[in-house]
Amino acid sequence: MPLLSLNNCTIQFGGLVAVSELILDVNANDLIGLIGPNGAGKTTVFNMITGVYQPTSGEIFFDKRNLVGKKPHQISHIGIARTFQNIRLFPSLTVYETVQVALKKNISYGFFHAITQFDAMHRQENRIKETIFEILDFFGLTRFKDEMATSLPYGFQRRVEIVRALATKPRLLLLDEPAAGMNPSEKKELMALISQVREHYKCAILLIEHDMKVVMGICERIAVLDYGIKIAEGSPHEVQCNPHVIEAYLGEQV
Amino acid sequence: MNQLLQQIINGISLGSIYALIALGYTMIYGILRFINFAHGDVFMIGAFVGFYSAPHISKLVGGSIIFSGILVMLLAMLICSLLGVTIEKFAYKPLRSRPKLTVLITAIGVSLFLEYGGQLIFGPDPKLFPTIVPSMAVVDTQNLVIGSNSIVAIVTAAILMLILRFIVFNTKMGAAMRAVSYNHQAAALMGININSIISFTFVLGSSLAAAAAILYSSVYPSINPLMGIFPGLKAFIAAVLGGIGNIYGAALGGLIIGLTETFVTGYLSPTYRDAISFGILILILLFKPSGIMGKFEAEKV
Amino acid sequence: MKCHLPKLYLLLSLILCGIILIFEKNISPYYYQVIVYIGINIILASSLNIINGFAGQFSLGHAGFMAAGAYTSAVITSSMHISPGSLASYPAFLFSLICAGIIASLFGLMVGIPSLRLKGDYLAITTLGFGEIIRVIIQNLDFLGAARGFTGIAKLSDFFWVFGIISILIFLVYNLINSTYGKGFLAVRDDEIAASAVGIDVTRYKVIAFVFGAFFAGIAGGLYAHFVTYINPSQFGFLRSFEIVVMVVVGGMGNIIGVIISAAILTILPEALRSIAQYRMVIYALLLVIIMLLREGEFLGGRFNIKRLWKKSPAET
Repeated sequence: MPLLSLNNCTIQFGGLVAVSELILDVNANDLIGLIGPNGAGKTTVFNMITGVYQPTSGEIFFDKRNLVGKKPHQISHIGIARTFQNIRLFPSLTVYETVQVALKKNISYGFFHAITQFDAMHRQENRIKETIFEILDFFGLTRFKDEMATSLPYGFQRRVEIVRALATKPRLLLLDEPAAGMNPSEKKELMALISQVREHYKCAILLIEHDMKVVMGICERIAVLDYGIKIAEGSPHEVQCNPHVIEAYLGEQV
Repeated sequence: MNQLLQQIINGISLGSIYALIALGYTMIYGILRFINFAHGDVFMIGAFVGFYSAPHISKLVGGSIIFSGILVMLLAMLICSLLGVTIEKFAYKPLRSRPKLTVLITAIGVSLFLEYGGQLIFGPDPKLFPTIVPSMAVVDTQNLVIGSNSIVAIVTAAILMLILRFIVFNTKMGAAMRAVSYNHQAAALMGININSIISFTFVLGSSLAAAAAILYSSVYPSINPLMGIFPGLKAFIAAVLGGIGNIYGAALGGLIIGLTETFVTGYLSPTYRDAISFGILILILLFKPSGIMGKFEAEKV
Repeated sequence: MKCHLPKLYLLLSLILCGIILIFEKNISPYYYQVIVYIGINIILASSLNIINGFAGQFSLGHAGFMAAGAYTSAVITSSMHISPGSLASYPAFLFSLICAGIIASLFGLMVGIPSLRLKGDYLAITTLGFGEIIRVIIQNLDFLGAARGFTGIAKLSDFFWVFGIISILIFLVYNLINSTYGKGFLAVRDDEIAASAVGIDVTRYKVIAFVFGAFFAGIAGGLYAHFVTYINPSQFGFLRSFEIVVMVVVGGMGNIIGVIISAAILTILPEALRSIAQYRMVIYALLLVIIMLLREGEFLGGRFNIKRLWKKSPAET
């Protein structure tokens, strides 16, 4: 039984079919790459899984629960977290607060406790504080904790976004082009980070990426989208040799 | 039956005046993406230009009431254009790269400045607007009185809207305006002078507001420095209702608001007149947030 | 330690209120009135700051919530025939203020729901419309005095009530915004999509902001009604809403202290200009434009955080 399975998911915007009849399974502990030319519908797949868009038809199951019709925050609570292609950090929050927001689902007190500061809240806030420091420590971000997240260097902003996603304790992490705009050494650090995350957090990862070195280097399985259709799936080697994939990337074979 | 016809005529005449003001809102929003709250007060200034200049102009040109009426309107349009461009240059231009909210508050400040400045200069009490548009009953039967001023308002508004349509869709300046409203930077790269296009938009919008003021004061001749607030708000609602940024939408929205208001006043109670336009607006926005003719822009993730 | 700070602050400000209460007889009635107006405006601006500043929902209908509260509490105390100074007047006034808050927050709920679908200017004009609708409805209700206004309200508000409620409000807001729960508001304001992706229920947060903000606007309305003793619908027009928005924007969206200071300054300013009566509103308007033109970033900086005092907050987008 896969952790996440997309059954014949199709999404249409007006007349445009962005993703068509997509079938994709992600097992617990998988690290799967989702690749394809620009405009192939990769980010749309993420948006469908996380509830930003609803599929026109098809089903999405995560841990036996149907995600179709659920809102993004509900899906986050079920255990899927994501990052964004164009970084979406909170401009007025510090790194510390960014992680804090992501830990909101760990607190059980509500609005009235928050405004009146009852003691139950203090215990929970202290626990949250510990958790934040643990997370920041693990990712080497402690020295930035009081910096505004958006004022960090680019590579660190990507890192904070991943950390924010992981703070929600996901069982599936969706990474949307994490290496975009990084230099080679940052990319190496990112690859190390991803394997570190897998080991420590034991979550499955679905990764959209254009950089083939990154994708081929870390993914166990790769699915290829072109014009919203899955044209290949398999091990990095199988995908590299697949004629459909070569055609999609390089055009008609000579 | 006659009463219904009466309401329709009144509604169209009020509605076409709202439409003229709404066009200013919608064009400025289309270009600068902010609500020019001072637009209603530019309208008020237009009325006072008419009030002070009409006696002199009719003395100057002599008997012809139509000719002097046109001159008064042109003068009001000219002065309001200057006012509109000045406001833009001094209050809005320095804030162009700043958050929208800052500009909105500034616009409210300009609006208050014009209102209270008007009270200071013109005096706070209402004044009687002179007759510069021939005012007689064209049709006068039982329950149905159609004044020539209503007819003049409808016809003038229609002519001005056609001229505006021509400018926006058939001239180079209009094409540049439309380009700027899509994307400032891209338009600038095409060699369009953004500043002059923005000024031109303010000229168009403010002169339409001035024309609307002359027509409005000819139908409702009591004018005062706060007279711009409600027509301004109604016209803004009309612009949002029709789909802000869309000039056909503004015209349609103006007519809908004008008709609804006269019907509510005529058949229900005048006290609900102001609430009803907001009520319609809220309903429309709830079911179609972009207005009747507006396009909905979804956020890209 | 840090967590006890707000409680300490609450205690201190209550004591301060008590001390000033003892000396209040020595203040001239005019200054006394200005001080109470400052207090009421601080409550209004701080409560709007929750909606506009923290949750990022641009609302132009705050005067409507204030009107709902003013009339609710006026009807309650009038029907009870409370006389000022009697022992029964204190719990009765408190009860009427709580009812004022509840009725206003029901209106907040009503306005909050469209805010779920609307953004920016559209939301601004819709909330303005709601505010006007509340006003027009009051204008047409005879038992509220319609356009003639509601007279004979007992003078129950005083300095103590107003500043006591400010202390409570600031305490609550400060706690809220420094809790993990409250950080969710800032996340919603900054980026709704990213906030929902980390499990923040954006809808719920927006509605809570409207309800909470409207509650205190309603209480401010109740305090106002029982201070001026005569209210009519034209006191709660959209110009009133503008004034409150201006206080929030000048003070810095989401800046608790900045908003309090700007509410005080912008209340005093027209009063200070009273000697040149006919020019004062013109000068007020002109100063407003000049402040907006000269201001770099916020009036006082980010939020209640010394380190951020001079940094720009990117909140107002």
